[in-house]
Amino acid sequence: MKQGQVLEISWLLLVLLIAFEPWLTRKNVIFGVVFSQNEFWTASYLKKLRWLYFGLICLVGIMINFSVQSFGSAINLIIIGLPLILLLGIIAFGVFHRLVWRWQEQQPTNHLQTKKRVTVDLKELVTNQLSPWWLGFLLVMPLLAGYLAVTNYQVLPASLPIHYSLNGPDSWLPKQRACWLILANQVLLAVTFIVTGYLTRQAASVHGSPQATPGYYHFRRSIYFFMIFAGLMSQIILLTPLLKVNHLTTWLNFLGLFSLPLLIGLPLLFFWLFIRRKKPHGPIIDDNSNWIWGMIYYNRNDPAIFVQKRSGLGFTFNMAHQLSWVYLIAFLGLITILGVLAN
Amino acid sequence: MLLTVDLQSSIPIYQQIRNQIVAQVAAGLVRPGEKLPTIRALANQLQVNLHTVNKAYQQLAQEGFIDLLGRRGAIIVQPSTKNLQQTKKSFQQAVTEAVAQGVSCSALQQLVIQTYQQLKAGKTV
Repeated sequence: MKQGQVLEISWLLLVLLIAFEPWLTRKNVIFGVVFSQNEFWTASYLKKLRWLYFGLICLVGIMINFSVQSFGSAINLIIIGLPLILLLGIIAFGVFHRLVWRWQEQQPTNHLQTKKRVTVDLKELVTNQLSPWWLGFLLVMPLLAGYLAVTNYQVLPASLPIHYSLNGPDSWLPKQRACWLILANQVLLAVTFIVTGYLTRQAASVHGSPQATPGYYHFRRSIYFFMIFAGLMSQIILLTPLLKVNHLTTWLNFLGLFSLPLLIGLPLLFFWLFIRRKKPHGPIIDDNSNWIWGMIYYNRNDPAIFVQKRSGLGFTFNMAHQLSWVYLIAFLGLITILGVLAN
Repeated sequence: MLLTVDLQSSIPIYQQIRNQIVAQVAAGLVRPGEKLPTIRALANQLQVNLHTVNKAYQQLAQEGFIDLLGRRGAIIVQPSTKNLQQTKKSFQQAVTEAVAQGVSCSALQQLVIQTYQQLKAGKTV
């Protein structure tokens, strides 16, 4: 498969992912607006809005695809097309969020929504507590990488591959530098997955009663252990140059082919099983005003810095806290530094 | 074991948490040896400050209803009479206020019996 085809398929998947965003959510959350009854999901006006959003994103995605390619190579899809479609997705989502909120305010039957009371099932909370110690598994691979770098150093080839394309390794470094790079990457991956795994232990973003977020604890546990699994898979892939493996490229291609569908598919499968399929009901806290455009969380009264996204998939910052800004700037800084170093 | 907090009530949130846990212990809905969630988990779930839940747990521990397990939450303890003196004082204060408001002795007796029976039937008050 050529690089251009890979880019086009990736682009198509990305556009579809953005277009399906209104469906990748709990049934009582529509464009970031929370409802106390999931029956609202099938309201004809809201159905129309969802399909309108889908059509809009697909149409613009196709237009960008054709116009970008007519001006140059497929790589422009990522350089120009990606920021464009992401920006459009954000703006469209914000506009549709306002429309849904306005529509909700006109509904007389939203009586179960309350601004005052929140109910928690203590037994459920105790039995579903996740120990952070499981994340310690992610430290095994950096230690193993260190051990292998030392013990296998003499028998390793003079240069080691550090980057792979579909046709095999395309970048090498002398083995001393490569060993240090692999070790640094192992530690970076461990830290990334430990932090991300730790954050998945957050409370649900829809509050009010345990029935408002059915299946939430199962989903949280699945994602927590998935993060550990994904971290270990990534670390194993990075570890392979240090192993004395024959046919390294075949082995890496196999791992890549095997792990990529799992890494993308499993979270979506968990989401469908434990969140999307469930029917939420019961009173909820009306905190729509804390969600700017249904995406950005701003709540001075909430002590949490990281919160679950409104949709239930992923997490975001509570922008009312100064520390959130520090984390955000540090994260963007880290990405920039890594980007510069990679080039 | 449900715990409901009214975020706009005049009763402080830590007091609401404390009162409900005591009521559930009295009604036998939670038994000695059962665990309570960690302070952080409960605060996150209720969207209240960590100190609020901490204050409720500290008070419950002082009153002898729970043992704090540090980062692992808390555990309901066997009932003991070591805090009976404090309970007596609170009870006397409640009776004094009721009498001051004109509640008769028989009405008070009835209230005490009713409350006791309700708790023994596994219902919180």
